[in-house]
Amino acid sequence: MSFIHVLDENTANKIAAGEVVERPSSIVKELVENSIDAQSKNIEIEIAEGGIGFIRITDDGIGMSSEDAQLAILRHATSKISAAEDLATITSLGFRGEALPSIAAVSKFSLTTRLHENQSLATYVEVVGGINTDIREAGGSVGTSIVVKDLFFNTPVRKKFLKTPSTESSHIHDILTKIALANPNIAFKLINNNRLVLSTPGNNQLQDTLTNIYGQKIAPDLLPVHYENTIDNIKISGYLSKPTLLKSSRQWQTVIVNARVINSRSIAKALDNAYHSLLPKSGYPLAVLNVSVPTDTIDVNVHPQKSEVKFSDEQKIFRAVYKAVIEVLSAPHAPDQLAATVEFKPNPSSYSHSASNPYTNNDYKKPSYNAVSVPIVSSWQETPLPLNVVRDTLEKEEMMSFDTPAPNVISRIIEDSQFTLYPLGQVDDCFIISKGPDGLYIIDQHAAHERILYDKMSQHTERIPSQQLLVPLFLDFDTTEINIISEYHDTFYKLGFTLELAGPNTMRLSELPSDIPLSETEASIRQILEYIQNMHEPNPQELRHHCLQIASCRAAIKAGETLNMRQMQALIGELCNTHLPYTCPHGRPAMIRFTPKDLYKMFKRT
Amino acid sequence: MKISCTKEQLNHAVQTVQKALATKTPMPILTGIYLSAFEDKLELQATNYEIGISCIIEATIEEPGTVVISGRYFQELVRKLPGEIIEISSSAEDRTIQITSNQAQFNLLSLPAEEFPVLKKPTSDTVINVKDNILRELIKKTVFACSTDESRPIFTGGLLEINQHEVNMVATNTHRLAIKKDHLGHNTDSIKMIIPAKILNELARIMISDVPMDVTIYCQKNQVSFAFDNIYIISRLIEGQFPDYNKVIPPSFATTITIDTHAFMDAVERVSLLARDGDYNIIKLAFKNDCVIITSNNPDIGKACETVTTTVQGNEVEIAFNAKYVTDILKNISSEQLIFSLNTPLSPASIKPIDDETYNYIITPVRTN
Repeated sequence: MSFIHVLDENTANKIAAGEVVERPSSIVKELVENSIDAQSKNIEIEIAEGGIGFIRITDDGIGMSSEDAQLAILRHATSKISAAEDLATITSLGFRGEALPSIAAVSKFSLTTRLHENQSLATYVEVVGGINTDIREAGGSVGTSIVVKDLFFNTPVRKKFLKTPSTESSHIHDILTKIALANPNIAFKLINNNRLVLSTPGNNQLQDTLTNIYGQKIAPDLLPVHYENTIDNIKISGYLSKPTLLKSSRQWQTVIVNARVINSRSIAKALDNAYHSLLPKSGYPLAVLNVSVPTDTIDVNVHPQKSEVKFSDEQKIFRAVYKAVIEVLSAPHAPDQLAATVEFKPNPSSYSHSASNPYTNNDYKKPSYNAVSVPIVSSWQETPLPLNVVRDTLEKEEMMSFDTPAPNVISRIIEDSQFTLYPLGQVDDCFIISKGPDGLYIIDQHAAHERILYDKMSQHTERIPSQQLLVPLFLDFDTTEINIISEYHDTFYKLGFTLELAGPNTMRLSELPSDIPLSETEASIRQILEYIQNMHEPNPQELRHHCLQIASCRAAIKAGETLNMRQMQALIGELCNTHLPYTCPHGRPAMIRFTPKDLYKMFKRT
Repeated sequence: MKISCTKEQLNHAVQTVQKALATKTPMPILTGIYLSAFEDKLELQATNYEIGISCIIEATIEEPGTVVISGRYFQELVRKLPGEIIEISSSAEDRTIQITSNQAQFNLLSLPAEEFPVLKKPTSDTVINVKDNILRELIKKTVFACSTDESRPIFTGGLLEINQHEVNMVATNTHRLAIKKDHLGHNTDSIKMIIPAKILNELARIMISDVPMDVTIYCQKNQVSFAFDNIYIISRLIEGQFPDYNKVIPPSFATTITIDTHAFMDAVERVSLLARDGDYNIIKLAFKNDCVIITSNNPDIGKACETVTTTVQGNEVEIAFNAKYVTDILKNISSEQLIFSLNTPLSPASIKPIDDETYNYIITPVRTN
């Protein structure tokens, strides 16, 4: 008798489900991605008990025929690829044909689907714990509706691992937020316990999607990204927040590669590096980056939940993202673009799930859980575009035209900014109050000057001479480090270090930058190694960021110095002229703007 | 203890030993000067465990004994006392020291003398005698090249090397190296030790006799003592292996330049005025057509350029240096002309006086992009 035997399909499905279905949010992700692949325009997600008790996904996509619906719940049944070679050029989100059978194996699953035309009746399929219990014709709207109930009812161990319903529902909220940002052309709705908690307009405007999700307040702090590298065929679009709008975690960073929401360490790192001197120690900018690369340069089939992809050249992606972000942050700006806006909310950073939604109190038509029928699709309507969003969009477009690096345009801005911002006076010998055409500006003189000096100084660090050593320094490294050093020999040489192999784990240093003291040498080299390991070739100013920070802080005019009008004017002019004008090198804001609207509001005139 | 001595002698002794006073120390006793009166002599000592200095002067002893006085106050008040003669007496009961001179009288609290780590008169098997003018010259010509960076301690001192009748001193901060050689005139034991630059500077400051006199060097395992006149200095040595400096000196040069020392130094100092910004004090030297063109360029301030006539033998070279490393050596060259020897823009160069084969200075160039 043999000990080894082939598992029956039901068991195999349950095991596979462990990979794909980790928690309710993974079900939502898989099913919503199916809906997106089915070319839906509206997707509604309804959950109860954090998705453990009830999930319903309803779309208006192409639907399935009766035969397809029965096939879909079988393992490795998919319409998205037909051969392994298709994986290289895959454009749909799903491809493995595992989601439906895996979900159906661990829940009470039912599916109602109707093809777009020429079929009057919908198909209803019911599967309980992987066993097909009912297939019949039923009434239903065009598209597909899937109901998942009692998740993990037959795998109690798994169920134990689930968190509280509120945690699970926040996971669903997070994942849906990112998917919605990746698909601004689709209107999403998330209903949690009969309350509408998320809705996007689906008008193909990413900015509207963003403001619908994160609230109107962020609109003035967003900067559009447009980057194209024709050589490598990499395109990056999306939005970044100004460094004045910071979040406490990476939760607010969404990376989309070829329409797929993924986690990528290298892209996150590229963002961090690009914001580098603009951020205080803790804090992450808000970002939605839509990266599009040729499909044959990525492998999407590396993670069971497809939350990671593999790039054929990760360095290239890193550089592209870094460049895209730097371009946006260092573009010339009119003063209103770089000032932080005033926040009236007591706690501006807490865009909690319910607070972000303006529709919380609307009484939404309560759908009953037991009814299999789809909620009335016609009740979905586009949210009307708020007026200020339109205005901001127009402003953005205006600014985007400045992004073309024509020198005369840049000089125009500089002139403009000098002419448009009139200093009115100084308060407490620290803040410059000035008037612009569109509001009141308050400038921290120290922070502003610090930023100007930092940018000037860091430009000079380009040409640092290196000094030879008469007596070489021997440094010990491990094998990986030695390999990196040999591979990036030129990078080190350009930074002023000459390193040669002197033993199995020893490098001989015969030249070092003349401003780095011998005692700091090893630390500097290790820092460069760290940068390189994070897939980023450092430039001299990054190495000296800290020194420059201190030097610029010391040299800058201090709070408490009285300035005359001319000095103030010059300071403001120069600030608008620097590369990264948002914050001081330590990450504090340099300028705050009060729009006339804000002022009216403060005096209760609205 | 009860003594009297002249103010001049006492002041000289206090100024000699005060360099060894500890300033920041958890042991208050090290901030004091130890006075010991015996047989018509007064010995002053100070030590901070790195360096110890002792100086003996003549005094009239009425009552022998030992006391320790706060160094900081003793040093200042001795200088300011009004009279020619100073009387010092201590009372055992209330632990005070009375210092009188003319009408001025001070009562200083004493530190517990029994706690003071008294310096022992040096004794050693290896004893070498060197004339103080030779030693002073060795130190002055080299010690400026020492490193101040504590990360590689061996370079914070000068290497004293005595081999039969030859005596060499070498100092480097790894970017430049100064070497001075001399002869003893007699054969002695061979020694090799790295002495902290601070002690060498102190030694050169104290050895101020007009007539050459013998300095006796006592070598012990990890410390060295210099005894001369009525003074002896004990210092710890820097442990470690000084690299072979002969490897650093290029065996041959492709270009040899003879320049007037003063004209060259003045020009370098003028040109480097504009280069002196932060840590990069870079000047460029272009040697061609029997002249050297010295330039500096600071984009924030401006440019400087000066030409000095020279005689150039060999290839034309353009090379960049840290101006400080150049002026440091020029200040120490006393001959009217010097020899500047070079190979390539990226290999070390040598500067030495035209008439002194025993003095050499190796300097590394900088690479600018």
